[in-house]
Amino acid sequence: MRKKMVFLLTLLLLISVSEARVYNVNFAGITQAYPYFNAYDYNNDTNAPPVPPSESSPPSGAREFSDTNYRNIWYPEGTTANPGYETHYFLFKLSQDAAVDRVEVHWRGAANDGNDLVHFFAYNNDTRSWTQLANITGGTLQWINYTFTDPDPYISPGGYMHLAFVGDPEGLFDSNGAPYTDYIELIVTVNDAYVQTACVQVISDNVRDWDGIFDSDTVSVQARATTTGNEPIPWYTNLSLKAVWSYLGSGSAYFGSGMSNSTGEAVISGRPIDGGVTDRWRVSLKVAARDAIVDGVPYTGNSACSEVSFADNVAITPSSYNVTLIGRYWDNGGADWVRIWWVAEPSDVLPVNIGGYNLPVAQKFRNWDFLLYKIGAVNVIGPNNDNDNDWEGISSNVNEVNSEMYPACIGPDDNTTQPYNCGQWAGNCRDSRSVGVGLLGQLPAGCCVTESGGTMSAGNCARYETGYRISTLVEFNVPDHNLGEPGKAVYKICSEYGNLTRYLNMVPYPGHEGDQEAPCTSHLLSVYLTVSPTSTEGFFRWTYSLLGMDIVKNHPHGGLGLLSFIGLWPDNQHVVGLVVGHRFGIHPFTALVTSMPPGTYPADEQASYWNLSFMQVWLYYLLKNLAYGIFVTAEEWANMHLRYPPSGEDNITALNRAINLVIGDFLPYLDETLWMLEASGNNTIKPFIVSTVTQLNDTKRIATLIRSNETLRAEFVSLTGTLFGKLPELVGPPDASTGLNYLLKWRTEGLTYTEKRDTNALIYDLLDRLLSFAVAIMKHLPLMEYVNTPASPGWNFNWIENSTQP
Amino acid sequence: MPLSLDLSTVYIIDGFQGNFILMAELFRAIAINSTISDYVANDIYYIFGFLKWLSYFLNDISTIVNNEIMLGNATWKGWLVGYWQRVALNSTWLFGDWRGAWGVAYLWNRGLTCIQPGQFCYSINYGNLTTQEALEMVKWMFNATSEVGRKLSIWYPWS
Amino acid sequence: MPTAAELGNVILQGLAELFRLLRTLFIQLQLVGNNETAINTSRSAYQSFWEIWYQIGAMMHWTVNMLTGKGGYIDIINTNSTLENTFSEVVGIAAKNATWMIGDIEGNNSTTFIIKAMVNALYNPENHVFVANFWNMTTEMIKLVSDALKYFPGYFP
Repeated sequence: MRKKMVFLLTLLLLISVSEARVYNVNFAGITQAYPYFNAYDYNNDTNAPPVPPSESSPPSGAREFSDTNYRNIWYPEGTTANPGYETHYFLFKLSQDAAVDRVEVHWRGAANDGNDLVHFFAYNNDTRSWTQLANITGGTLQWINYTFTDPDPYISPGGYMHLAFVGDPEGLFDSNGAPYTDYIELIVTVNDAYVQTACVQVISDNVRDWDGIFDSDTVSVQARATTTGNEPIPWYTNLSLKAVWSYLGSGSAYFGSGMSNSTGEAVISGRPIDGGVTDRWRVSLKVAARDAIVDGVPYTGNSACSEVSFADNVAITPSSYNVTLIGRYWDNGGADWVRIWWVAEPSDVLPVNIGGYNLPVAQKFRNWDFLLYKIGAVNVIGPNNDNDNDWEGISSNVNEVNSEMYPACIGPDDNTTQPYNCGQWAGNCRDSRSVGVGLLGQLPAGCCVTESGGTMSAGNCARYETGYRISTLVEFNVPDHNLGEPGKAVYKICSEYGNLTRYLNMVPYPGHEGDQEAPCTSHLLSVYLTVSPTSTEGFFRWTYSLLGMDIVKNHPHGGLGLLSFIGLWPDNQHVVGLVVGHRFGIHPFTALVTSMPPGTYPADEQASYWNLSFMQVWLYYLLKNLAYGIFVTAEEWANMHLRYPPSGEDNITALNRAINLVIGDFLPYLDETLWMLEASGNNTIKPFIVSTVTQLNDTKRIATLIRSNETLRAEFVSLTGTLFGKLPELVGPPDASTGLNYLLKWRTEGLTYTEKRDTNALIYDLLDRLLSFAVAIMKHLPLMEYVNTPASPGWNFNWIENSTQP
Repeated sequence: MPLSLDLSTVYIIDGFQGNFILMAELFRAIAINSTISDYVANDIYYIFGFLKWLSYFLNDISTIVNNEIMLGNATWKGWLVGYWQRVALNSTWLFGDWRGAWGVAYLWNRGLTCIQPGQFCYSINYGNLTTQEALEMVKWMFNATSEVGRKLSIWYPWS
Repeated sequence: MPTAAELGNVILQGLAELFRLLRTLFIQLQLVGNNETAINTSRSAYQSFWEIWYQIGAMMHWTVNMLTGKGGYIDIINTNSTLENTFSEVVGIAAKNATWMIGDIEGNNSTTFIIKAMVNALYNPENHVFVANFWNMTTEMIKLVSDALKYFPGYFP
């Protein structure tokens, strides 16, 4: 008999445990309009409420919570409801009592003050009386948790449960003891036999198939909750948006929520980022009905009709970036390692709107923050560079960067209305000031100096940090001379120069990068201002004063003239890019960088770890990321006709127009580069030649490593395979129905004559500048052999000795 | 450590060697992997398709330029002709002179001089190394071409 | 998988477009040549053309010199026995794989295959534009060269 009992019991347990569904019933999203859960406060001078007149209503005189008070009890976030009376009365319509196996009550709130209590009562339908079950003391927010293992007596035949929280001011039950309710929820276990399926239908939405949105864009859908028999379900509380993906990783996440109204229709909206969905190429967006108890019926969304997709293959692009890239760096001192940190905050990332629509996977950047940190590695691989443990940096993120460690910057935003001026030094370059009580000169306002036709002007950087992302291509650049006060001082105080070109040109390399003087005789007083240090680099790091007066204020966050990045960016984890720029107006460099998983690269200060074996790890990720980038680009371009259709919104002509914007974006950078080369002459051209030659040397090192290291060789083979295997998708079929061919065909047939002509003009401009650049370099190349003076440094010039060490 | 004329020549030759090595690895990957040589055979069809549309696009641009010049647009005339004139005026420095003192000719001159007996590149065997790498590349290029070539009639059937 | 006929079509179409582009570029060079004086009065027609041609000649001279001159990169194959072996190995590969690399007389494999596909595709009336474009391009090229040659004696008497 016992055995039989045990067997039956086990069976029962198994049945009840495996065929139950748990619901979280709370007030989130509930307003006065909602019919099934209600909250009231009730004025009662006795310790327990009166018996409710019917299963579905509270005692007469109960006041329903206002919408504001309902709002306060949506989430346990500390905002409380306290309408005034001492009884907080909650009336829930759950499911019929046979269906409900167990109820846990979690209430968070507080008594009126330190000595008061709050009593928790539940209404027992069998005894027709209120039972006190728990209480709390004190005015701090705390939880009352109570479990009904046998909830039947407390649930009416119609499925209603009455709960009351009564404030008790030290034994006197009057309205001085009104409690505070922060949140209440019921965890209800329902027997599966009673659970029904909820379905959804999509009425309209604001995203199309193959669209592209930011993770911070609001997706909005009009939907209907229905039963399996197509009957609408009014007041369905748990409708949600869902993102599902299976391309390049798989996963899903809910974001956004909504509730259907009295007709069963709902507007559900949300942002993908709120569900953690970002940086994905092919997301399926769906409306989902999730578990909810509505009007006494427990519903579940576990059927195919419970999730309906309204947009497939949607690209969700990040609305902000915070990325670290690691790579090789080449300048006239040799080859080294860099760590690059790029931050684009949400306000820095804008959509590209063409013809009234935001183009998919297209973004414009401005006022971004940037740090390039050169690691002075021990046992440097390659030609000798700056001394061991010699770190240098270029940064534009004042808020988080140690200005001693990272001296030069490119003008970070200070999160106010003025972008691109070194925020922390706002008073320094942005404002005008008189020097040496006006005896030595007047500096105009503005952090950027421009020179045009030999005439100087200072201003607040007419061309801001800029950049674009289009599909898998990212470029950003700073085309300005943020030379701050030192730049202004040069032509305003020193009579030798008159403009920036003469300063850059007449002062030899050691006078810019090293310890030599740059002569400066005051305009107004004809006083020769001798200095230590006076090199351009010195001017930026240290204030130069005379007789206690600040002549040139230091500007540690100024000095980067130009910077440009271009790269393949399939997602934030697989970036490969090239950086070109120069520091302090002179010292040009190039760098090849890629993204690496955290932990795979050494810390900045671990100088000895940035060695040859690390180089092989870096090469591994470089090759892998390049292959990944080609793969993703090919598959995107194979669907170019879907992402950017031949006509309609977000079409291929809009994409071509966006490309024209990018070309135009890049030109001012080349303009400035060329100006700098011509202005500073030998001081920039010679170092650039050296850095190029250093790069060539590193190329051999990289090639040899790829050939000798079996893992790298395999990755290279894999990269080759990807390149040739994906080529058909990249270029597209010969009928130009998609791929690059499609882009080219519509570039020709979709743009107007004037647009094509004007973009061609830009490209010819570009070619023009590149020609000037090539001529400058080739002209100086043989000269490197014949001279070796600071004014005209040649191959034998010691660049390191002639640079200022920190 | 400063560079020197010899070291800079070595670095430039390094650039060539590095490229030969990478190209050799590329051709080798094609030659020894039948999957990859299959890809390349297939790619020929698509490369010509791309050539068509690239030419179509470039032709459109060039026609616009020609058109503007024939209409007498001074800006375009100035740009296009001016560009060629600048290339011409700088052609000695860009391409070179017969003495090998300027331009690309200078680079080739340096490359040749450095590997002569008694010179620096000769002492580190760079002439031989560079030729070796170039021959390796050619060897694998032949292998790759034959691997791809023999697949064409299989990959593109006659019917 | 595209057939050989489709391959032939695509090759001809690609080349036809290329010829059209080249024709436009030859016309453009004629425009450049004939407008030299309009932009810079001290220069005459096709002057840039010939100057560039001349300096490229210098560059080519040094390219050839670097490769084949005494002690040059190809010349050293003769003096270095290891390299000589590598070289014969390379030649051997070419010889052995010639039918695959270049193709055989029936038009199987490689270059001959491609040419055969092109020839067959020419019979397709749609591809007659290939011939027309080829002819038009050649016409402009001849016009350009003859135009430029008119001025040749002026620059290189």
